Amino acid sequence: MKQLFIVFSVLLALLSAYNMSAQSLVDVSVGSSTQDRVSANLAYRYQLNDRFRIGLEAQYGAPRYRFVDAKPIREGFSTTFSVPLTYRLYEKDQIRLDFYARTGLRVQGKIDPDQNDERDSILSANAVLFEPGLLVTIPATEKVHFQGGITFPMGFQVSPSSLFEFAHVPLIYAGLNVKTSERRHVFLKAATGAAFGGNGDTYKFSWSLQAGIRFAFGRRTAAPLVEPTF
Amino acid sequence: MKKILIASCLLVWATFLTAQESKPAKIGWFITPEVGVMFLENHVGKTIGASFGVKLWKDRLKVGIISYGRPGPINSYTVDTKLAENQTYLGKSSVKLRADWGVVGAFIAPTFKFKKFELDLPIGYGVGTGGFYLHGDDRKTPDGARVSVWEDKLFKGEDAAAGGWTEFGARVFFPSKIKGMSFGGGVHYTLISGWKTFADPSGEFYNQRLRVNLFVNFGSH
Repeated sequence: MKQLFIVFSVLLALLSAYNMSAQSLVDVSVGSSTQDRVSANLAYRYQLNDRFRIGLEAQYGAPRYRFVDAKPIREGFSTTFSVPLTYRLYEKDQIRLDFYARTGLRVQGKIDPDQNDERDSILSANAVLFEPGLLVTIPATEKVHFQGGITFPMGFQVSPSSLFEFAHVPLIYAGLNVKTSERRHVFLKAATGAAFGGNGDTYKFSWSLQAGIRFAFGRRTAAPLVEPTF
Repeated sequence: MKKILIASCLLVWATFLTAQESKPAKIGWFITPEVGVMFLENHVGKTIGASFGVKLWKDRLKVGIISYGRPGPINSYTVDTKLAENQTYLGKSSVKLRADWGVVGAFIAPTFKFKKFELDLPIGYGVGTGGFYLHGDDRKTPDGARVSVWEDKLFKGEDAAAGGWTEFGARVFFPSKIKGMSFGGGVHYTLISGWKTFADPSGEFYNQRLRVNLFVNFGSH
């Protein structure tokens, strides 16, 4: 966690020092879900042009219900690094449609799995994550935007063994974004949906809730689109 | 089934004829997240899912993908299942299993616009998969092996299965103040074929069932 914080702080400092004419966004949020009792998320978004936005994201969680080799762990750690991107497909009047995709790496596990009160072993699993989706943004007022959409997150454990861990078909997403100042938004995100995977040993359903603040840098005001995090 | 397919094709063709314009057709899009219930034997199952796709011929025909699930964790109904003769699990000769179900398929929906609402008639075809699983303390296996290993052993590999899914329905959409967003509800009749499990050898758990849903619809306009 400490190393993660240092890496991201350095990255953000470098990016902030760079003279960017396009908009950059930094999101800080906390949440809870089927997977984690509590999680913290730090995200950076860079608006390349009017349609395309790409980012970097890190999430750290305290597991509530996660898996190693399709066997549950209910405590330990979970760290995810991912690269999300969005591409605007349609915008007319009050409705906007974006294509969304995320790819990432996840490490999760349990310290002292044999519970001998000595931190001499770690049971952990690494996975590759992928999540395509479609997101809709609707401005209710000048300052309040609603979001809805569907995504198809999936995870593939690559070590200690290879297995198809989970997929949602689909995950339903809802978001609320409120502009509190010219360069600051507060947001709420929620997602839920049925799932399958691990030959029936892993998730069959999941939910997540997240709340945070978005800070905008650069010439333009903050874009309302806040992508799902899972 | 043959008569139903012929009638469906005629309905689509009629929609096509009435929507013909001299201008090139504009292709729209839609996304429809939904929640619903399925009226199953002895209980009502909760569902969650979504459909998405394109709208053709001045929005008079929707073509897309639909997927929904009846997940076990939000449906507490259990099926009391007797194990095979001379078989026990954690000292029991029968176990209470939860049911888990999901559907994914394609659909077409001729759409009819009226003054204050819109009606579409979705016809879907695809695959339904699901089964019955150990839950709660029964998931703590006696030897620490994965739960699926024991489920395969206890239910002779028939803890879950896949089958053909067909569904016919009617949905009503009411516009909101925001262009491109509407709300509504629908009724659907589900047919399942070729789905057989240890806990439900007849395969009738989800067959010939009524499903009702509520949704928010987003789309081009």
